[in-house]
Amino acid sequence: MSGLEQDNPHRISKGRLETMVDTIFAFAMTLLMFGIAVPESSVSQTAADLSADLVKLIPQFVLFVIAFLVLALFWIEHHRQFHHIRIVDPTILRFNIAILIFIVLIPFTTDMAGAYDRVRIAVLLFHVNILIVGALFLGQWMYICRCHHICDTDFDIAIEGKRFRLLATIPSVAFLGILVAFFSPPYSLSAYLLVPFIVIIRRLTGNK
Amino acid sequence: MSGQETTDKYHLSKNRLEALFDGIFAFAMTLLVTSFIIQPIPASDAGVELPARIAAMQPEFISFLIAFFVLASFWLAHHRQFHFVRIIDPAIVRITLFILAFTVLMPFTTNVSGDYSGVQVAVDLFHANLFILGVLFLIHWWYLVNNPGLTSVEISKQDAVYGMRRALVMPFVSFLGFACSFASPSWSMAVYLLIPLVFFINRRYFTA
Repeated sequence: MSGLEQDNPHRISKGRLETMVDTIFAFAMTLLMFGIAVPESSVSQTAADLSADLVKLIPQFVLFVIAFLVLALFWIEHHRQFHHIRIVDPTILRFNIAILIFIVLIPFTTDMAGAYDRVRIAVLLFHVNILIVGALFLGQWMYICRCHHICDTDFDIAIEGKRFRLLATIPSVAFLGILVAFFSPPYSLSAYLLVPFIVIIRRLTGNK
Repeated sequence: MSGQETTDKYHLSKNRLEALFDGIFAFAMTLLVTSFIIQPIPASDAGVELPARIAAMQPEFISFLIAFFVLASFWLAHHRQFHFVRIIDPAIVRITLFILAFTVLMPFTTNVSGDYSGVQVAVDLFHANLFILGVLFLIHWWYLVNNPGLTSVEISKQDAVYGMRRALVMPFVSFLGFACSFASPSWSMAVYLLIPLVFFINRRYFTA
């Protein structure tokens, strides 16, 4: 840990950036809940209609769970990558701001895709959003592996370099979702159900 | 480090003020997304109407992007300025609370200026909000430069002038935006594209 780097006023401290990222993730994950909107109806109608209305909310609820889990995966990935970083250099800072802007958009795109799951453009917004965040995480990891002077000394490029394929999972699933959306927008959202299978298969075959 | 000031029971710790600041900034930056509102469309028309509605959100999206990047750069500026702070005195607390009050207003002014991008009053609210925030950051830096007792290391003349010049950028640009809004409210938002340019020139030609 060189004292010079720590005292540079133009360097953002890793701790504060982590807090910022964690808070924005936490808030975005909470805001997802607003995507599940019960249509308003008068009290007299409610008793009869509410159960029918709740059934209509099922796609929104499923998408809420998907988006929440995808955000959680991204958050864990951020934690992993930052575990190795020692210094936040301007490029890492830019990656993080770009990641945050698209994380903040996820509640909106989830809301759109949940409310209009039969409309191609609404579903595509969601897939593209996830694709961009996934690609940014992949890009940040490539940068970390290439410039490992910003990492801790025990960073082992031979082992860590293999994580590219794992990181490519979410962007490729989102890409598959985009392709399927041209045939059937509602079913394209189920592409994300592949993620746990891919992870399990990878673990069984010994690739970490 | 004088013991007297840090054992004062009313003394606010630097860490807690930073945590409050980060939390509020993260919250405000995430809330910006709530400006994207699409009125419910019946499912039968959604396929036709939704693409047009999404395309019509362009000004809101531009306001969102500008507000997000401006808030991110204010957050970085605060980090840079707080790097020097050793003791929190009542004046710093007051300036910080004013900064936070106007930061919390940002999602509202962003929302209004995005929804009514052609209305001068709406756009001026946004410019005024950024102008006030910029001036508050300028006061904050000016106060730190003139109270060496509060800082951990004395701020060098060179750092002080450079910091002043950086802090002047935002009040200057938002005032320019205000002036432009008399000609064209919607185009006055474009002045914020000058910021990266001004910073680049500042760094290239005015640093020793």
